[in-house]
Amino acid sequence: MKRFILSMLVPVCAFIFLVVLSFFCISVYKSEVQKQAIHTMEVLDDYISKAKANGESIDSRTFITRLSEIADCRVCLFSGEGNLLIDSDTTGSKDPDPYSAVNTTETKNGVISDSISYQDNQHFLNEFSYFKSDNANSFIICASFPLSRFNNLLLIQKSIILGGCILLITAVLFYGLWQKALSSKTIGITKSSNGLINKIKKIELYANERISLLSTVLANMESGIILFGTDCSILMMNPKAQSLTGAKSSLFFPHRPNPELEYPPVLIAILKMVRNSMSSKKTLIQDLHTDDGKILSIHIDIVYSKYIPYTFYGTQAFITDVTEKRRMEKIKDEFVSNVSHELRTPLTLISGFAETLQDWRELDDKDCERALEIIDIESKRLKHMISQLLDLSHIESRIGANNLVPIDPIETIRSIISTIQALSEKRNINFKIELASEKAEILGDKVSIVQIVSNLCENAIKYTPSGGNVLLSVQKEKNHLVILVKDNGIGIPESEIPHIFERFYRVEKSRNTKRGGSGLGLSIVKGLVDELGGDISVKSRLHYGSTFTVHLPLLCKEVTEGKTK
Amino acid sequence: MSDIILKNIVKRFDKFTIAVNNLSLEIHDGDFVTLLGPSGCGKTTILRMIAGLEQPTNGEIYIDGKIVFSSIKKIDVPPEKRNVGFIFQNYALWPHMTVYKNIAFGLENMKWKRSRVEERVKELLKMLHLEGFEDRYPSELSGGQQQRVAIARMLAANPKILLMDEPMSNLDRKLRMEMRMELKNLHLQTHSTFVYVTHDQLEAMTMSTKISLIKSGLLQQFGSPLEIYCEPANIFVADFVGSPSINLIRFSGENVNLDEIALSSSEMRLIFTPITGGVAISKGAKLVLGIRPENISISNDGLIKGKVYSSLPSGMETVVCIIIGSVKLNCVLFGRIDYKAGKPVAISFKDDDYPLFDEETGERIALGKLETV
Repeated sequence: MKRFILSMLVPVCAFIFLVVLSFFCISVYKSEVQKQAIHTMEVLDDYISKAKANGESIDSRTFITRLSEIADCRVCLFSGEGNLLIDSDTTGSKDPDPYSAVNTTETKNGVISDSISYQDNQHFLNEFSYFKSDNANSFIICASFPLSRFNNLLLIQKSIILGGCILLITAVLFYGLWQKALSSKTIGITKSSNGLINKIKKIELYANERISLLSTVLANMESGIILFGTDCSILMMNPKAQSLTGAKSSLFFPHRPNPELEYPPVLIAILKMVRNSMSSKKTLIQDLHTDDGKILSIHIDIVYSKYIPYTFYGTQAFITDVTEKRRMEKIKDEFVSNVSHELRTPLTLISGFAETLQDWRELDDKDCERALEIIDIESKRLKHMISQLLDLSHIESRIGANNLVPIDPIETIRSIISTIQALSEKRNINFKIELASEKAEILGDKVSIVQIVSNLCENAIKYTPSGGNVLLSVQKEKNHLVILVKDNGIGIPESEIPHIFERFYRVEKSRNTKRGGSGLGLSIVKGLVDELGGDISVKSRLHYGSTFTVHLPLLCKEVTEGKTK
Repeated sequence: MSDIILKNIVKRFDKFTIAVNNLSLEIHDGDFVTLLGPSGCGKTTILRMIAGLEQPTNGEIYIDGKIVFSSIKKIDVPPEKRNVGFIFQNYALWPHMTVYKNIAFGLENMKWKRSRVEERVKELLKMLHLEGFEDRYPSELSGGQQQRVAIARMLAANPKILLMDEPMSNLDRKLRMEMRMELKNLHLQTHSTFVYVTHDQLEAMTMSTKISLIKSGLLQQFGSPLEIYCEPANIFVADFVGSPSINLIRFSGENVNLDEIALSSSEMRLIFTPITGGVAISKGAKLVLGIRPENISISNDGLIKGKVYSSLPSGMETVVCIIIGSVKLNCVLFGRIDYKAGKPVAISFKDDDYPLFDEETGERIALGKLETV
């Protein structure tokens, strides 16, 4: 606006100057003509006064015509009251009205006055002069001088004013329109910038969501992932990888000189593998033993870009903690060799004696009987072992929650006591039994209860030297049935206790070869107790004996009632 | 059921000054809500609008589920019919009436029975520990007593909503501390809804159940004092609340690894792990990290080295200003410790959630854990 006004100042000034100039020109022209007219009037006055002195009649047409000829213009004669008396012009043009220019008193005082009249597309300068005739009559004589250029000057002036006005109005109008267009343009810009801001905000939100999603997925992965760039720098590492390798978050700080100096040893080992894999462009799988005894399985893959085909992107390392898995594998391997050994021993005996019996004619009856007896014992042992193996693998399928029924465990246990007693007598072991007198009810199946109790008791008897004591106690305790099997046998080393319920685990192989056994008994018990919703615990001291305690949940009265209803 | 609901309240004083800008607030029954903000932010205007002493330009106000003001429906319930008590900053006690008269005046005006008025006034005098002052004139009372009289007068008619406009600004520090406890206790006793205006953040933090922080007529955050303290919505809120105020350190940030943000400045380098959700930032984005003074500890194993600039022990705690390069950090250490100025120290940050702000908008972008590099 300011600039517009400033820039308009110059043309407006020029315009005003032109207008003033035109007025000035007109006035100059007018005064020139006036000067001439006054001169002419003076000449006429002289002539008239001479004529008066000569006694000529002034108010005659011939005199006026003569005056007109002298002055070379139209001359009119008015009476003192302003009535037209004689006009030199006979064409009948409108007469110059003296009163339009001068007032009578002034005229009467003899002042020469003038006026401009407009007639027939022509401006005239009328000069009036007043004089008295001899017979006290007063006259006004008027000479009309044509203003030949006045019209043109007026036209120029008008066109200057008109043109200037038009120019000014157009400028203002143009400025207004321009401003409007500008403002609408800025509105458009602000609108579009608002739209952009909204769009950026949306993109930001979306990006945040994606980051959160990917971070959540990667943070919850079971194995660690590290992504290495082509220069072997770490591009990304999930929290699991951080905890497995012991790498600090500070590793990720950008633009650090020699970041590898801060790598923990595990990470350095992995980096070495990554370099190998990168140079050979081959997948690498390797176990890594850490200083704190862990075994990590490292799987290194070459990564190609998902988006640009055949473009090498880097390598990714999957790190999985396989300490437990490897240990289980080891145990399993040991078990398999153990079991095969255990299975082979009776089989060898059976096949050996069977071969001997084929030549039975050479044997006496006693030897035959002995051989048959051995075959019988060994095949039974084999059968027992195999059934135990089957049991172990079938616990889950055999007892589903649907197969469980309310039973009295004490009654069930009572039914097998004689068998256990017989075994203990055979081994010369003092077997004591404490059974609760009242009735109890649990949700389970008889076979499981029998197996749990007999397994525990057999174990106790097996690992107690002759002359030792074994106690079986079954009691109700609050809402649990507690089965306790206590012996004063060889006991279990403390370090082995956490492992004794594992499937394939055996305490000290040497002590088992003497006593036989598959290493499955306790894991079967554990499996059964778990299935019945109970728990088993053990307390033991080497050379002082062990105590196994089984807690089984008792069936509440209300539950049974609810069920029958 | 003494809720106060403000919906899109706008208050303009003339065409250009907006005192309150599109304020929506829900104050629940039994809340002690503080309207907190610097002087001239419009908090007193809001209180006066709730009381009915001022008309909003736009919006609606509900008290107790009933509409008391609506610019569209042309409703404006007069102050005396809104059942709210109001305490002015200068108490406005009648100087020519005794304490008893001052308290009883409103009740007598409401045409209560004489015996009932007497009973009620006695009850109030007892509640506010003013027994024995019944016949004194306000000029014969101390500031604290005057204030209690004003509170008693406000409570007389048993309003469910009490509005207070900086009632403690005329009291000295010790008396103010006492009155804070009294007022908080009163809130528990009366089960009324309190709306309290103050510019003192300590008063707001200690007394209220919820704070609404206002800056030039705009609501910045509405939440419990701890929320305001620990999860400030923007730099203004973080800076306004807490004494000594929060350390705001400028960093340039960069996304690294999964969702971590590497914060670097010429003085220190930190890794920020967001806990409120991943944040995507542009590389080199200008960020501001807020660190509360009590979260900085001076320890030998700290990775950031600085010098003690000044140490201000007050017996219970020591405010230590540590200068690291060109950054000054205030930290509060509890216990009687003093440091000599100029002593080189190492600092570390405690395990807490730190707010991270965008410098340009001032908004908080995440809360997260810090790790020094």
